[in-house]
Amino acid sequence: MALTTPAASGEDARKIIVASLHRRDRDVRGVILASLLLAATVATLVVLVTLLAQVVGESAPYLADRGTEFLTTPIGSDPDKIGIWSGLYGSIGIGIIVLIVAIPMGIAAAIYLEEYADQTRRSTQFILVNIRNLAGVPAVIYGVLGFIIFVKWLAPLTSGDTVIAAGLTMSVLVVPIVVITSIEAIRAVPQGLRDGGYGVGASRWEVVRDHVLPYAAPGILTGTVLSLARALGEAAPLIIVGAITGFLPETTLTEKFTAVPILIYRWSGQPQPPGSEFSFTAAAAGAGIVLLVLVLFFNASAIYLRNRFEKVRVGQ
Amino acid sequence: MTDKFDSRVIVDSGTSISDDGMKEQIRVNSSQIDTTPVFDLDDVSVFYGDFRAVRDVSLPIQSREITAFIGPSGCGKTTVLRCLNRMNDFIATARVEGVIRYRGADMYDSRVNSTEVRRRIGMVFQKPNPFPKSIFDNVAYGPRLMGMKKKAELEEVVERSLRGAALWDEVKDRLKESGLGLSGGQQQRLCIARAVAVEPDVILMDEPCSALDPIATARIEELMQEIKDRYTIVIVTHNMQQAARVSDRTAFFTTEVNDASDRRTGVLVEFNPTEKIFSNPDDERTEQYVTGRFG
Amino acid sequence: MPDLRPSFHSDLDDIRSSIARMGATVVELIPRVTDILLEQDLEGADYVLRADDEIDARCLDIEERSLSLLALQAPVAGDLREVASAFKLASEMERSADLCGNICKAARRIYGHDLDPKLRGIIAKLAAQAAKEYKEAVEAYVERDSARAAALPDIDDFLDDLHRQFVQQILESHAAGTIDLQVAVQLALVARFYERLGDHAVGLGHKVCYIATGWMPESDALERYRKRQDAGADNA
Repeated sequence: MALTTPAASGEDARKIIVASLHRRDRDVRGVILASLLLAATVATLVVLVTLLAQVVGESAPYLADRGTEFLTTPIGSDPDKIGIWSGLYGSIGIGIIVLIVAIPMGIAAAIYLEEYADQTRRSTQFILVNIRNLAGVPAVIYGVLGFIIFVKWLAPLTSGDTVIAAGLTMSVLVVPIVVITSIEAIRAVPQGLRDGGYGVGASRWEVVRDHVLPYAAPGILTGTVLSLARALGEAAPLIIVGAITGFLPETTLTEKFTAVPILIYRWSGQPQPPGSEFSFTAAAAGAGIVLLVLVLFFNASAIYLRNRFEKVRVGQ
Repeated sequence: MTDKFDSRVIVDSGTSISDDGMKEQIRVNSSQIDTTPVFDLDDVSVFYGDFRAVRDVSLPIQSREITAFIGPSGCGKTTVLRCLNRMNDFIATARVEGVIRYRGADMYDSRVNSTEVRRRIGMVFQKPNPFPKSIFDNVAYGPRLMGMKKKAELEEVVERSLRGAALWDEVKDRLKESGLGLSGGQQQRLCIARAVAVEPDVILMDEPCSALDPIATARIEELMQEIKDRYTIVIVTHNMQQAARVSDRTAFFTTEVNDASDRRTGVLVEFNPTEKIFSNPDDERTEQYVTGRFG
Repeated sequence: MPDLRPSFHSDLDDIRSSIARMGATVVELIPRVTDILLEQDLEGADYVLRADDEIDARCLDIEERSLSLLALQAPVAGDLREVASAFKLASEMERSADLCGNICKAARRIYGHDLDPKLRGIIAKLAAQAAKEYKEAVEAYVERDSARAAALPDIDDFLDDLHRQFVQQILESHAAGTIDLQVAVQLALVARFYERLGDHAVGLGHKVCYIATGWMPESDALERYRKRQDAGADNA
């Protein structure tokens, strides 16, 4: 009912208006929608919390018992005595290679595509579409790619199935993600900022260096973190590239390698040997916790850095 | 600018207008009565792809004057303005036909370095766009790009520019604070100070007051009058009264509907001293627009 | 063409109508006061002189409305010329009405003295010509016709001729003794009043040209002055 001017005046009008203002319609559909949204949120949280509780529950006694030894002992056959050192070495190595190779390459490609390339030409659009498609390619395929190119063809460079080859493979997998998130971050830079730079006679590169990149930094950092998390968490491509799941005597860059996800994969199925206090499953859970902490650490630092940049952006 | 800057050239080897030579020319010109136009547009049309956005623009822009472009929306006044410092280069499909001369030199010659163009022809935009840096760094940005490094020099340039933009007294105690913390009118004056810091020849203004309140607008209009003896100013405004208040000459553009494509093309109708445009214009279309008999 | 400021232009049109109506009032007044003069109608003279207050009030009203339009609407170009002219036109028409009042005062002063037929004839012609000229000017204003307005000075020449004839006749009549000195002087003044009315009509015409084209006769004078200055400066 529309609010019409009351025919009465003075006190009567006031009463009518008060009554109509205080009326509360039952917004049934609104309430149902709100409840459904709440339910979905709760369900998601419940699932996550359950998973987390599972893993933590499984690993807590184990880690409590093993302590930091878990991090520094190489793999073996007795759950009571194994450690993830070999896997940690491999994962960290992969992470560093991704940081050095994929991140700069991806950011540079994004800068070129958004700031320098001619957006109206079909070739540019073609490249963008293809990069988006690459981001969706299953990781296993990258494993095959990595195996053929980095392990076989470039063996002189990488010494075969090593951390270097694995790192390069994961770099290739991750580059499309870096490019896409960096492109989005660069697109979010307001045109006014660029105009201001051009308006005082800055060249295109000066505008990119002094204005676009600093403004896009938070978004680019987010992309970096996402890609690192992806690189550290993938198992399938590493298996194809040749990660060892069994015993690994030493850890170097130019010899056989392994990574934490591989270890988790390996240990999850293994039966508990007789006479050992803990199961391989517990060890796997422990490794999972370590990986989680690693990724969370990266996330936290990226969020911290992003907040620092964003403060400058809005002028504090 | 001091002698420490690199002398760069607008057009390499072919036409030798060195940086110092340019300044010399400007000094010489200012000491006499400056009758050579700063810009000379000759039969200029601007296309976006196949679509002709503005056609047949021919007009001179005189030195040390304020020239206003007025007209209904879509008439091409901003398009023409942006051609004057080659900002339209950033639109991939934009194309200019005809000749635009800057102090005699063809601005769209293939040897022209557009960054050099924009060093001499600065721009202030509709929405104030200070950099997310300190006030000091905002103003110092241009001079730093040109190679100025010494703190004392930069401080001098920053103070001079902020004074020139009538902002110094308000911000002199908080130069390290972010430029984004200023009010809208202050931000726009900061943008003007930033443009002025590189000592351009021309300042282009694209509706500089349309995002500001009346008091801030009045201050900027006052500022324009103060600085016009040092810079040539071209301003696009949709506020006719503003054009009447501040400009020496006014160009009136209007739109024509292209029957074939049903799209509007802008065209220059009249270019005259402002006083004439608003008291007794030559063209009937101008009369109708300024009296509001036609929007 | 859609008018973006219809209420402003409507107000401007109202001012134009008010000026036209004042002009029409003057055009009606001229034969009226002529009759009062020739018939020596004291009551009529009284009435006209009192009604002058109303005309003054109308003139003031036009000026106030024009000022308001200037302050609030910021007219430009043709609209500005119209509003700027409104002040002068209202004031000139008020003066024209005053002149008609003065003719009534002269009628009072010569009360009791007869006028010979020759004099009466010329007065009637003078009045008719003045009224015709004024009417032409008002119509040119209403039609915004600067061509018609440009013809007014020539029409005024005829009025000036009649004025000279009238003065000549006054002298002859006085010499012949049909009127005494006092009456002759009053009639000479009356002659002047009619001639001034013609001048006002010409002034109206000038404003019509100004509104249409932005040109004023004063511009010619300014040109001549400037040319003399330059020539003088060159010779110095």
